[in-house]
Amino acid sequence: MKKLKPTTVILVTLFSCILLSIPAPETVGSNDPSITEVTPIELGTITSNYYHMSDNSFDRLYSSDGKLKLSYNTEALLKVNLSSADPGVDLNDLEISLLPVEDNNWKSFGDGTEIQLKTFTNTDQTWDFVEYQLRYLPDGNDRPGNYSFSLNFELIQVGLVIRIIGGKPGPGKKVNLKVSDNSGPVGNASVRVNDEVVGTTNPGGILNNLTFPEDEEKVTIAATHDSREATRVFNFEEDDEEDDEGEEEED
Amino acid sequence: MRKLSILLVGLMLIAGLSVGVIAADSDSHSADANITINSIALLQVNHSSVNLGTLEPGDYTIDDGWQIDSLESEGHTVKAFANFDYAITVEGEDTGSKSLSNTDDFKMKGADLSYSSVIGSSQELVSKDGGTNATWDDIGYKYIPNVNDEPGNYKVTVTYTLSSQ
Repeated sequence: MKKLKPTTVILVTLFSCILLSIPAPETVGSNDPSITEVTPIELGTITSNYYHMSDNSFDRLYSSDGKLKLSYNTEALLKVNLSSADPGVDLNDLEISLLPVEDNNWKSFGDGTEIQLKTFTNTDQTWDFVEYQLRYLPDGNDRPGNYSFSLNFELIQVGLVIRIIGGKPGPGKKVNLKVSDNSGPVGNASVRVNDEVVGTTNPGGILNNLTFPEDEEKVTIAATHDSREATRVFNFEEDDEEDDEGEEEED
Repeated sequence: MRKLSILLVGLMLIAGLSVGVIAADSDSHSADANITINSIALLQVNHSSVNLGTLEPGDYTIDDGWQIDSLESEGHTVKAFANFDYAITVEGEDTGSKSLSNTDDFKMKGADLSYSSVIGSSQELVSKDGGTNATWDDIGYKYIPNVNDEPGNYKVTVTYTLSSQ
């Protein structure tokens, strides 16, 4: 067998040390908010039937219903903005609402800022369908033509989330976890395993060497910071992990 | 050896990049929406028929001819709206069983048009910017009597047209 040169050994050792010193990647789990599906909508055509000469008014044009499929299991905020608005149409007259429409749910794109549509707090589910609708109130200054808009929906995590950043969950296994919110790591978060406090996250939001109980089929990890709380449930009886706050497949 | 060093440095870079993947705390998705606005033009002529009156024998004298300047009917209304720049024109057609001896004797006025002959000649009543809902209630019709007109009933059909400019 060929003997390695000392410099090769040094380089390999150096490489290994560097690899080991780099923190493990955060698990991109299903508790990351995501928009998995957006159905397009059609606003249609404004014809002369929309105009009433008697009082010089127009009827509103309502779009077909659009649908968003969202995935979240921490408190999440759904926002929307118009990323490419056509200057030929007055955006004050273009409004959006989630369905079902309730009083005063319509929000105008007029000021050009992002519209906050809804904060999802029902974190015991991991996905949701949300329907939305646009409406447009024509006015006499609208000129004939085709006008396009691009709606940009964004789902943002606003609550706490627990991510496993090292190790593999399992009975008796040790993991490193990280607690964060949309601003970044959350330090000083109290972490409990099956309602027993096991530690507090460091300023980087990390708690290392959290040990899963040996004989529990179902383990709930909870992190609390101020009034906010995130939980994740691991079920080791079956292959699937049921996660009240962050559903994720678990072998 | 040098190749090995380059390889190792490369591996380290790749490793560094690969562990740089972090979890996302937001996600976005776009959807397109379209509106089509058709050309919209509405024109309302609020009078379907106007009677200018009857010339009587007393309206004419041997010495001084016609004692009246014209048969007139004024104060009629037209409304219009269009979402494009537009003009309204009028044009008359002698459609009666008897023909006027001189079609120039039938005249119209209103909006920006002063009394003008309209039979066989299109005249612009007004032009407006798009988006303007406007009403003109000064539409007038008149006929200047002509000694060559035979007794009978005469009819002129006036067509209003709104068109883009």
